[in-house]
Amino acid sequence: MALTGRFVLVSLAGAVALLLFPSGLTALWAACLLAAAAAADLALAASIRQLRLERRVPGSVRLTESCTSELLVTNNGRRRLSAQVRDGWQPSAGAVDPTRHVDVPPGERRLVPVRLVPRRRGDLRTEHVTVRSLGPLGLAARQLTLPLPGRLRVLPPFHSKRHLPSKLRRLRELDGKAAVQIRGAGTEFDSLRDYVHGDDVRSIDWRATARRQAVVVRTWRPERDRRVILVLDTSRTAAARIDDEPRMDTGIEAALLLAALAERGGDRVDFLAFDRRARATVKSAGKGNMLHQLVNAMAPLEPELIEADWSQIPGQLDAISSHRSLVVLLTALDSGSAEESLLPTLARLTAEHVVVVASVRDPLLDELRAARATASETFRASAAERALLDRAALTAQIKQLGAEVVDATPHELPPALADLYIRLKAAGRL
Amino acid sequence: MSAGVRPEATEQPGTYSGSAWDATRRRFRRWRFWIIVVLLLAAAVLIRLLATPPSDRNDLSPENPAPNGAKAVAEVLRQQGTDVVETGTLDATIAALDDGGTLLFHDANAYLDEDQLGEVAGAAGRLILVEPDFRQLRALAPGFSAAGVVPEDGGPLAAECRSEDGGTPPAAAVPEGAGTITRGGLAYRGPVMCFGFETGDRPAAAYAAAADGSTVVLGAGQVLSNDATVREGNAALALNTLGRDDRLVWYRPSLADISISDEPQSPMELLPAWVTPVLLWLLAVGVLAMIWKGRRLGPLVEEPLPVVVRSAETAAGRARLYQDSKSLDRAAANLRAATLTRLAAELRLGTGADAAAVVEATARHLGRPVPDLDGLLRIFVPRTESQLVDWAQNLQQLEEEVTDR
Repeated sequence: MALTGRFVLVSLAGAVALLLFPSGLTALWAACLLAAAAAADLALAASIRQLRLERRVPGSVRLTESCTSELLVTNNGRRRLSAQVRDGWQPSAGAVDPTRHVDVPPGERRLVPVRLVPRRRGDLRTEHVTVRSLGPLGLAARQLTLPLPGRLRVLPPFHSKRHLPSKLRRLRELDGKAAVQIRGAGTEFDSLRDYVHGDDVRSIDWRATARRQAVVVRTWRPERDRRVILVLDTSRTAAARIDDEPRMDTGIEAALLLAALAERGGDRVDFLAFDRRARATVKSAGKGNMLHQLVNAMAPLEPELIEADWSQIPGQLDAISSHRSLVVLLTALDSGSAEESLLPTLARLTAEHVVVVASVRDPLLDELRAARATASETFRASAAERALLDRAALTAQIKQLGAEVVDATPHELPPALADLYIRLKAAGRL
Repeated sequence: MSAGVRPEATEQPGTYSGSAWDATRRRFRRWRFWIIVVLLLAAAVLIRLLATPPSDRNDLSPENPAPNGAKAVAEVLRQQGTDVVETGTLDATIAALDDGGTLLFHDANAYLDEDQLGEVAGAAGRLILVEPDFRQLRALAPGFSAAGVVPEDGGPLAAECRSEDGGTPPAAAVPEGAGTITRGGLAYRGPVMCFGFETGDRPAAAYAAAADGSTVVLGAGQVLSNDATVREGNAALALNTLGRDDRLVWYRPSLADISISDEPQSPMELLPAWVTPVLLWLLAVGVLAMIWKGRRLGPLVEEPLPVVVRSAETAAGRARLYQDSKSLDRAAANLRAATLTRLAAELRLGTGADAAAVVEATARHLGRPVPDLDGLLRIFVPRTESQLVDWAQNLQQLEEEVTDR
């Protein structure tokens, strides 16, 4: 049960009565009257137990976009329902107007839209709906909270999408679709065609030219149907916040851009989120839109507060593909955690695969390094230098093991990784 | 996961099952622990209240067994055959004095006004005043005057009775048996004074009496208290003074004696009659408004927050460690190594270049003498924090010079 503002206003009228007839009896009468009115109102309010509620939630929505969750209220009772309805979405679901007023005549059904502007990636939940059924006088209300679970999947925002057109253009240049062929762009022999102005003279096929009486050039195209395996580290290092974004989210952005690019480039993309066990996998053999599957698999991922076990990675990769692949490890290059487990594994991986280690670099370290005005700041600069030196040493070790390293700030990591992919593809190293 | 997400829209449209009773039971289960705790506490308080009757805790009350009470003296007097009558109001006192007897008057809070004091004076035969104030003295014992507080320094007070005029005091006014009493209480002057102490010109004492012994002003009230009555000759003084008659009326004025009639008129009585009920009603409405606003529309919803740590936190922590342990060497070594590494990269010396080579290349690049730079880059070791700051800034400046040129 609940009181309304109107009840409080009406009870103020009792003060007027007391002003005119100041006695305890007046107060008693006023109190009795109010109580009777409230009781009658409660008795005449529509029963909440006679309601049937349903909720329709859209399957998924991208972060930064909005959607509408619909609540269907069916009144099976005999009295008209006039109620406030509140959908109990968790705060980060960003319900714009979670409390709505709804009027449902007996035997009818009404739709209550709740606009959601999610502020977090992942599965956002609501567990209940609260209904406050007002009486005909609007003095008192019945209130009940009904369990009605619902879930909205919020997909990663994929901000790095804006880099996709330019990277695709560069990929097409490799692919022989552009007018001018660049020698060395790809290693698979594609075809012979007439020389056009601007072609590299070194690509002229003299034997064919001799046969044809016209200058003929060979064209190459980059290899296709290679495998790209994206491994996202979901261990404790992924929880670190860099530039207002957890490391994991930056990794997801980079993985999405690379996946989109590789798919257009004709390669097959697999995804594995891993710490001590596989948190999510997406197989290239799956049906449907690969990118769609990927974002759905990534959406509910959260960093786990455990140490990653890299020694299991080779086995996991073998299970995904037995062929030579481009393996992209999206992880952290922090000294300590990486040295123990990642480096020994990398030595095994580089023997079989082309390995890229992609890591987010913290721009704050560079700021700390440069600030040297006071003693505290200088010590901080020194600590930042230490961190950067450790990182540089680790990078050198990884390169020595034959792996590529992409170490960039959160905004730069996705395009930098895409560039590396294009470079590897152009060099025919996939 | 490869199958993608299940379409949420076709998932079971949730229908409600459950009742208000379920909700109540759920709520009870959640609050069960606290309800039990509150009930236990309430029970404990109740038992405590019922077990201990309300007791008298006032100073020198004949019913108070605490150290500050005077129950011991009263009980001993009763055992010795004195009828101790305890009264709390003026009317009861006057009624009790109809049968005669000594009146012990102790009004530490000065509840009685002049008229009432006059009634007391008229009713009493023999009168014992315990630590009276000026007003009470003037009304009840006109021949006496107050002389402040008995000074704290010094030993017990000896009886040494004497008259105000210097002669031998009459026997009726002299307390018997008490050689010395503990020091303390208030001092008075009267026709006969006992238990005096060193004063300047005029004598004063903790015990003063009229020449015929009909009025006694007992300044040393502590002789009656439970904790002090056993020391020195306190008990003798108390029992002899109080137990002279068969009947003792022990009068301690209470709040009931305060006369209300001549109180100044309170401003509340000037207000119209409706003010109080309306104010009370508005208070009730305020409570209703609180209930209206305090009723939440459904329970609070939890937000499962992810663990998030600032990445540079480890570097900041290490910096504090350096500073707290004053590791100037280590901090300097980091700065030096970082600068040398960057200079080597800037001057394209390769990764394996040693420090001497970097210094030489830098000197050549900037056109500065090698020893200068050698001192800055290789030899100098900061000894204090201010040196470290200066040196770190110099390194930074050098790097900028190399980069800019």
